[in-house]
Amino acid sequence: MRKALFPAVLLVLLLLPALKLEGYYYRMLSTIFLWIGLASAWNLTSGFTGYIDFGSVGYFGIGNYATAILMTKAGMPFVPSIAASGILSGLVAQFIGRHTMKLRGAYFGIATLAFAEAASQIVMEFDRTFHITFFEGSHGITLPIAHEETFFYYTFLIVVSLIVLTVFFIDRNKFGYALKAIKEAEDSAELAGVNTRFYKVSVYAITAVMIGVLGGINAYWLTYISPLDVFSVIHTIHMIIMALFGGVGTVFGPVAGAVVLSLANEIIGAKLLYTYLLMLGIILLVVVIFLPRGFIGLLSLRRFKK
Amino acid sequence: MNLLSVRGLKKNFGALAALSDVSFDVADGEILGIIGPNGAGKTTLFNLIAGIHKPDGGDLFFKGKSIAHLPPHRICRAGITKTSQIVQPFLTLTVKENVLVALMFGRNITKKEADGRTGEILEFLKIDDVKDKLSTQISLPKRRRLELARSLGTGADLILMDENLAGLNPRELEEGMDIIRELKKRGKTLVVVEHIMQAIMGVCERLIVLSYGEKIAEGHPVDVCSDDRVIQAYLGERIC
Repeated sequence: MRKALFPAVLLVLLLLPALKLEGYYYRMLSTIFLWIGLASAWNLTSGFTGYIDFGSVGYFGIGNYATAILMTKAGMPFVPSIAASGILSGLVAQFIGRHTMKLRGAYFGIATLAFAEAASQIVMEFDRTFHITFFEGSHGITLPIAHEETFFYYTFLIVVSLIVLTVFFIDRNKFGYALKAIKEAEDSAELAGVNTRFYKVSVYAITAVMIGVLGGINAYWLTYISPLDVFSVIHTIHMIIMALFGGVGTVFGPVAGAVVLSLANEIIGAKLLYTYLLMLGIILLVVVIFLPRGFIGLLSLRRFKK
Repeated sequence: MNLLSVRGLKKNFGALAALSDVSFDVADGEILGIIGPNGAGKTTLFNLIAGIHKPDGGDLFFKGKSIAHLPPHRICRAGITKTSQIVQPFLTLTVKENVLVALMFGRNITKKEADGRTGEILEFLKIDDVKDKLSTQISLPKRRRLELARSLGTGADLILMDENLAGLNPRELEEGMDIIRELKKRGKTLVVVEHIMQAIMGVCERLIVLSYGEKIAEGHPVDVCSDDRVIQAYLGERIC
């Protein structure tokens, strides 16, 4: 039955716009999809290999800006623009990953955090430094308004489904076993013939491609982006919290975490921001102390009970 | 024919010379024992051969080619692997999956091909009864077997065993020695680091003694054990 759940949910979501709901619901669902995608992409690197990335928002920002600049300044259509966002993020990640993935534990976290902050500062100060108009600094970039909410609803749905499916297949394949072996014992993985560096950098780049594409869609969806917004560290923190909440290193944990926390944010956060943040803190403490493998961990633990 | 040749190997950790100018050969199909007091450089030597550390001097030749500059996974694919003294299984994977990883990556085969080959290795090492348990859920002797199972999975011709028999009871020790002899029959070459002299004398055909990073003796186990320098540095008393 659990096998049928994913296609069933997907089918319902695909047919949902037939109900002709109000725009608000599409926006809410699109937000949830975006976070499912971001949390799943973050989890693919950090959850599976144990390298906790604190700079994932860097690729989100790169994706946002690549699409915004290509669409407004080069007149490129939307789909090639988000593809370019993904490719650019992936290339940057190849470079960043090759250097940061040598570091372990907190050092990797700090290096990636520094990368995201540096990217944000470059976008902020580039124009002023070189006296040109490219990133538009803190003014931000305004994109054309062209599409209805259902367009973004479907775009997010398709892209996010592909992301979750990718994680699903990686989890079951040789590639996934390499990542899990790296997480558990990197030296043992090498001794067993795993080219740890190759797999670490590859998965980091795949994650960046996913986050970059989502960033590109985000820019066109919001129609206005600024560096402080799309490079905000709070986005990385949200990815981490959602993945932790649902269960890191699992396929559907981050999906569940993103759904629950996005909904909580939408329902409680809009009216009672501080209550929401307080609640989030308490939930997270409970999860970390009592459910170190997240809520999904409760289900999968049964598999191994004697 | 020499499978492995170690030539003038050096390794320093800061001011400490962990290994200085160690040379020896390992013949194809033999069981070589390495003994010596704690801190003599046995584990360091293994880490250098397996590629976990890089030597500060000297060279390593495997099947005639230098491997000193290769990363561990390349050395593994070339045909050398190591079991660790402190067992390091992939904890959240099952016993079977641990062996699966070694098969897939050590031999560079697909998951489907590897799936069919786990059973034989698990049976040989008598851990097939726990194949679906997490490696955290099995006893220490079985975890040591799992380390060995992973080594076999990689298909390596030369297996470096770092105190794989430590902490076993007499019956388990006897079984462990039988496994080592059986591995030799199957064409594996083994280098064994061990403190249990009963095991060393029982399986090894040749011995090397390390002390303070230097090779102080080499030869037939009985000759080595009656060497005065070896008795002084390590054994403490005449055992044979």
